[in-house]
Amino acid sequence: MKVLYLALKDFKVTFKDKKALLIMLVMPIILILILGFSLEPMFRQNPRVAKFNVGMISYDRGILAQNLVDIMKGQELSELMDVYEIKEEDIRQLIKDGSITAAVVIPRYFTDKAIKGEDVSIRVYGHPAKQVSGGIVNGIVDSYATGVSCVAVAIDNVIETLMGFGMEHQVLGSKTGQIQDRLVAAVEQAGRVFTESTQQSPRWITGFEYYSVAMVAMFILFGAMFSVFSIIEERQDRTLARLFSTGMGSISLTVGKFIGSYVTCLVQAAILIVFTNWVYGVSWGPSPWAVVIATLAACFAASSFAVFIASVSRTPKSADALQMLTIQGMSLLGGSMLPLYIMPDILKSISRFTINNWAIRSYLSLITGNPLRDISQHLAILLAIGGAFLVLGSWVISAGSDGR
Amino acid sequence: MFLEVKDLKKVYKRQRAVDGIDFSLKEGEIFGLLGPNGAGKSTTISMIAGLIKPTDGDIIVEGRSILKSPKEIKRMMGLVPQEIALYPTLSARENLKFWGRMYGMDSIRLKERIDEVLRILGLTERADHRIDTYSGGMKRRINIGAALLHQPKLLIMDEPTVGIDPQSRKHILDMVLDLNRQGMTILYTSHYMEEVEYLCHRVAIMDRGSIIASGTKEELKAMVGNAHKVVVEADNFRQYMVDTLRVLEGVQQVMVEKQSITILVKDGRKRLADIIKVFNDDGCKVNSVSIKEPDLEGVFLHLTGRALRN
Ligand SMILES: Nc1ncnc2c1ncn2[C@@H]1O[C@H](COP(=O)(O)OP(=O)(O)OP(=O)(O)O)[C@@H](O)[C@H]1O
Ligand SMILES: [Mg+2]
Repeated sequence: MKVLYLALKDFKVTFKDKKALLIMLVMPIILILILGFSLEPMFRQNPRVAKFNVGMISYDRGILAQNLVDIMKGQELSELMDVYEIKEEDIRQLIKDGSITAAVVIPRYFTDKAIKGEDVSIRVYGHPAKQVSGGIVNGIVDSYATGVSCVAVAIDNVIETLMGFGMEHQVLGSKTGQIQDRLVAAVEQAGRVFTESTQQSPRWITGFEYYSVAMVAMFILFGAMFSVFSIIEERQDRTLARLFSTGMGSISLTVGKFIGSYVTCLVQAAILIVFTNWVYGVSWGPSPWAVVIATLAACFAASSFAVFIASVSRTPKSADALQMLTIQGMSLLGGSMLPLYIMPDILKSISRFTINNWAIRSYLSLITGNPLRDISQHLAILLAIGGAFLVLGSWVISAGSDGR
Repeated sequence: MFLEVKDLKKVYKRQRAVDGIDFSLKEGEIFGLLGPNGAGKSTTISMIAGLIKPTDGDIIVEGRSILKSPKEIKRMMGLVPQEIALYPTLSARENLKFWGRMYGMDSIRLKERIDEVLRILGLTERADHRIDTYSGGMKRRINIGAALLHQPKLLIMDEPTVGIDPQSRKHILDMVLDLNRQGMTILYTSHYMEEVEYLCHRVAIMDRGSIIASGTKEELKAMVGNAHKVVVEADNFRQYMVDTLRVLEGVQQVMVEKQSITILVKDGRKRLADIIKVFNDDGCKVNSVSIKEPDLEGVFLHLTGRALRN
């Protein structure tokens, strides 16, 4: 109980401290604005695949050919590629000089043949060195063709079955128009399904989203430290001695400081998340509960880390120095300043040892729509880091206390 | 005995802060620990309050050693630290509430006690203001109040009146007497002999880690015999004159503090003429002379040749 009152007192003191609030809340909010704005282009120009050009030749005026052209030129894919109508004889030259990275050729009678279930294929040409963009075009065409042939085969089967029941060929002929309409509708449906699924898979993070996450991951470290470091202030203000004179032990003190820090951290993160959501319009993903759970884990790691740093700091000066060094270091390496994506591999591996890295990855994963179970490993790592620091910190503190 | 301090020692690397002291407190008394800066008063008190471990010796409260059952004993003590130990950004009420909680008080009793203590301190009106807006004297009073909430059997006060205005000091001293009248045992340290003289039933005088004298005020004063304290204010006093004064009949101690020369002398009234003569012979201009009955300051001077305050 005493421990909770101590935590509550620390929470109160921290949230009454204007300087602390400035650093815990105002600074990240400003930094998100600045970094989010100024580094936004980095996120636009630097997707994993740059936008590319595709050549398109259609020898068929039929509905299925037109449908594919519409999909390729459509809104959904416009972020990814620009589609130009070209002539077949130019393909080789255009690909060679880099004007286009791939070309799609729809053969004559594609629609008719596809509907009749005859063998017909769309050809895709690509540059051997540009496998990624070529692969994307291939994927789109393939899945369209598969959609078409699935429906074609299905209709074929229906017709054959009906004929097996002895239906007149003539009657059937009059139904062909109807069947054709259904086929087209089915293919359109298939096209829609396809483009929707490309949209959902790795969607790009905006600069604001990235830095909201990154700054929360960084500044909860400050929040956690402010609260735990009040122990140093208490030593200076003599309230620490008074606490011990009431019969409080160093274990209770550590636990109280940890809880105070944890609560401070959680409230700080909550304020930042809600603020970025309301004011900057940052979506933190479809599931608020998942965000809450990720925050619980990240703050646990931050507070435990703060307990550890406080335990090894002997003077207020060394505490300040250690705080700056560790927070800045972890933030730089952990992706709070430079986006994790653009880090060289060596930094990416070092990054795995930072709290920031795992917190940022967890939040980003949730933002892009992944379910909680996808980040369970990240969260486990955060909890493990936190547990380790908490045990270490408590051990240092109890070993160093003067038998209180 | 309510509290017994036995051969208590605290040795730091470079210093024997407390060098084997013994004293005891009876239930219901005000006991004074008087000594100059650095005498070891705070160190002694910190050991009694269980804040630092003695190098040697023991402290027994109601038959139990504080070293063996610190938690239980801490509960029945209230410590008023020498420095103000409060949270400056919290209000007085919030501070009191917090410290009451730390002493394990439940909310109903705590609420009553806070109102009561604020009334005793005379700070009810300012209770909801932040501590950092308080004057030094008001902070001191809250600093004391925080140790009173749980109605400790033993109140330990470490120079609770340092650096405050006479009015606040008077308030505090009378409060201490009141608390004592209600049955609280009090250990009071100070380097103001007037305070100790005003408050305490028994006194231990501490210097450089040791207790150099202890007893009731009367017993202590008897140590100086029928000596008086003669204080001469003079211009142009020269150091060699100390030796001249020392060899005068009946002079026990001479102490110089700027223009004020304090002479501890037997039968002060009779010797006054001799003393003034020394000053006149050496061309010193005497501005004022006073003769005082022996006090604790005089006792300290008698024992150490130094002033209590420095
Ligand atoms: N933690 C410490 N480490 C080393 N020396 C110490 C420590 N605490 C106190 N001392 C020394 O022990 C001596 C006694 O100090 P203490 O604070 O007990 O004196 P005091 O009687 O309370 O003086 P004051 O009237 O100035 O408060 C001093 O010389 C001081 O320098
Ligand atoms: Mg002291």
